[in-house]
Amino acid sequence: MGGRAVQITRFSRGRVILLGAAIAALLGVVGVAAQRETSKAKTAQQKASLSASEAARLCIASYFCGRQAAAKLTAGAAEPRALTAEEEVYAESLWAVHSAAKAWAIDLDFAGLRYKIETRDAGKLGAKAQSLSTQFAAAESKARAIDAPPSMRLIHEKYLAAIQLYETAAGEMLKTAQDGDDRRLLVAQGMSQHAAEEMLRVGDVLWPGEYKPN
Amino acid sequence: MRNLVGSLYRAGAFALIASGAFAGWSGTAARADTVCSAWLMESSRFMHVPFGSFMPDRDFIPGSNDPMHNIQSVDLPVNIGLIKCDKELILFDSGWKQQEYHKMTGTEHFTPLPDQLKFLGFKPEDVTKVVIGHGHWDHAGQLSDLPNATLYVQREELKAIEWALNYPNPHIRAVNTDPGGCNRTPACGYTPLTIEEIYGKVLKGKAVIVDGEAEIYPGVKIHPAFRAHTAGSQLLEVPTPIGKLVFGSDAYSSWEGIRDWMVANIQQTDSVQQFLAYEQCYKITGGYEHCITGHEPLSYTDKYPVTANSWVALNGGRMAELALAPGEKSRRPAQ
Repeated sequence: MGGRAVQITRFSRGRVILLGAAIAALLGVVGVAAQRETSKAKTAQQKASLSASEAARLCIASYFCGRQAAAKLTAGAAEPRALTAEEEVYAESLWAVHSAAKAWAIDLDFAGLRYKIETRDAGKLGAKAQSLSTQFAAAESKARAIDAPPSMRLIHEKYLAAIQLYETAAGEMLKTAQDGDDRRLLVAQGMSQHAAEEMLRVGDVLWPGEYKPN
Repeated sequence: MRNLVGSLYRAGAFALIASGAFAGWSGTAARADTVCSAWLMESSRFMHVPFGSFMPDRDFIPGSNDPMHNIQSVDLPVNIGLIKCDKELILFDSGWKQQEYHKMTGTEHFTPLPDQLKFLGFKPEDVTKVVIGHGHWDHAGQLSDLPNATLYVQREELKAIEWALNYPNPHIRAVNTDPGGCNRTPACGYTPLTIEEIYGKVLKGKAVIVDGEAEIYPGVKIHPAFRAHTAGSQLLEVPTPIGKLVFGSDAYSSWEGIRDWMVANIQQTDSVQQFLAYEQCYKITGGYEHCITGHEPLSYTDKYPVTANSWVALNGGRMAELALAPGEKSRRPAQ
């Protein structure tokens, strides 16, 4: 009985040593794995933050803030938040209208500038104002036809109001061409300036990084 | 009697000639004596711009010990010049109007121009003239905040924007946002809001469309620097007690660039014209020390000595006192 006990004890000691070694090895493996995972996560985190800062640099370096670069940038910022897939579709649809509208906005200014400092040609001013008024009206119709997701309704209304304001400003310019009253140009310019500011605010939400530094 | 009349006539004629000569001499003396005070204000700062994108000759080479290539990124101030000649208060450039959308351009330390002027003891209404080095949105903003200021812009600048906008090829007519961005797109950098503000000044009868050279106050001269950054870029020569200063906006964005003869900020630039703008400053001031640049990273430090008398003002933005005319008080806050 005693001998058996000794045997058992010996056997147990051996097993215990083996078991301990196995546990130690396992713990070692787990530890190394955990360390590697932590290190991987850290590296990934560093990579993510690097890519965000690289994106920021890229924006300024190449004067090109692509939408992806902008999205990376906004990921770490409090605002503007990233757009949902539905909002992205809306932003892209409206962009088609917007990219043309902002060039027309500058065109509207230059119609007035040319009239004031170069030609004083009411005929040319009227023709340009009429053409731009029609273009802004068409842009408004196109923008109105775009289905804005509920989260973007207010933004959409703001954008439509800005386009309408440009259309009205072009109408005021047309009246100047008809009656020669330059004061209307100042009224129109005030409208355009307000519209430009509103469009920038919309752009801040929909197209962050729209404009590049110079 | 006839002799008396003749003598009086001759005496009168002499007096007339003498007084005319004196007036002419005194006029010349007044012009020669005109000296102005000048300050530099940081409208805002672009952060972490890769050096090579600002100055291609200074691009970063990892591991390099060469001081020309071992700086990865720089912070670029957006500088505004403030010039006081007698009762005239003149701005050179007007910075930009900060709004939410500027977050994406890596901008920090913005302060509205009216607040900066107040910090120096002036009011926005005191500004009588504003000369824009060019019409880009970070140099020609905030014009509507300066109700009494007359804007000076080159006709060439306006003509070129309109030409580029109406050019049929989108590579040329890009307006900041088109694919490819701003590089080499002549209409880029002119946002609707910036053009609105310029147009507003014209409509209010507060704009002078300049054709080349112009003297806007005795000794204060506009010099064209066409295509040195944009089509209608211009410089401003200012007489001060320390000598002539020449403000360059982005015709010379970098002071080190002028010193070391390297191009900077060349998005829409004809680099030969940029060097000729540098040369213009050398000719007018006798060197490079008094060339006041639009975005020099060393601004407001003793490494750019003319801007060394500087301090941190509002929202971390910096200011510098460049020169003080006799009798003009320092605007530097007490330590």
